[in-house]
Amino acid sequence: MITDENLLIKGLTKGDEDAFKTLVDDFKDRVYNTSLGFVHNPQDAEDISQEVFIEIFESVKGFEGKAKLSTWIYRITVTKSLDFIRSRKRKKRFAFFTSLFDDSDKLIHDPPDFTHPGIEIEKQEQASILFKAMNKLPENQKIAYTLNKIEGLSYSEICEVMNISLSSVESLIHRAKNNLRKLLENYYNK
Amino acid sequence: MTKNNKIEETIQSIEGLKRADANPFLYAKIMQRLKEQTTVKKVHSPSKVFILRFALILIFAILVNVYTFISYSDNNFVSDKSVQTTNQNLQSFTKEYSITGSTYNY
Repeated sequence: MITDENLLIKGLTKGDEDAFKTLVDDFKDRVYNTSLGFVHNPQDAEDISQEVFIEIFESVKGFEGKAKLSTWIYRITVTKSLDFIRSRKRKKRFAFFTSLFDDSDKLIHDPPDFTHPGIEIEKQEQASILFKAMNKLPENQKIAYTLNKIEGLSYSEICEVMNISLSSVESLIHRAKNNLRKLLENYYNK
Repeated sequence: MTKNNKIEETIQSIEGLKRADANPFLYAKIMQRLKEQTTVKKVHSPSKVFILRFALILIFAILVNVYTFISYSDNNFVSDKSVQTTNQNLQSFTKEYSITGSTYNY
């Protein structure tokens, strides 16, 4: 079992499978939980997690060590998750045409309500409403809010992942909360 | 419950959320995908792809050349025909009006 980060990176660079297994074991829950926070679907989050680790395996030689390993992995996870959301949106736009020929696009039209497995049962209904509202946030606000509230990263860790200043992170999370309040107000007014 | 309380309660609903656990077989699945990728890469090796692309470009170039040659020779054939018709018309015109020589007999 490799514990030191530098040793782990060295092992990964050499293509050592033990080092890669250690990395997957250490980070799989963080990667999965983060992508789940963005895509709101367990199967999609698992696919993204696999892609993240494959990307790490293939590009670890280019990792210069300027950022922490965890920061680098979170960046890849966020990028992959956002790419996935963009491609899903594109598919949704064309879903009308595809549905003319095929009935299997029902999931794209009507995604089921998302319930995060880590939320207490009595709060799941409200959390599901909040997740829907989070989907409508601007991208940067969504990243900062998800990393903070779903993955539990501190503001300084979010600074490193997003490569922005601490005040920018504070501002993004503050604006995200205000926007969520407005969105929820509209929801409860219906 | 007031609307504002509902909103605050909804926002607070994800506080203290526990991290979701990934599939325990994730590593095995990743290794499987990596192996599949390697196989696919071997099948579609860059040299084979390059040869295939080159062959397609070559076929395309040949087709363009053949098409151009055919359409050019067709045009020439048409223009030759039209020249012939014009000469025939001229000959019949000269016959009709007895214009046979290059000099005029008054």
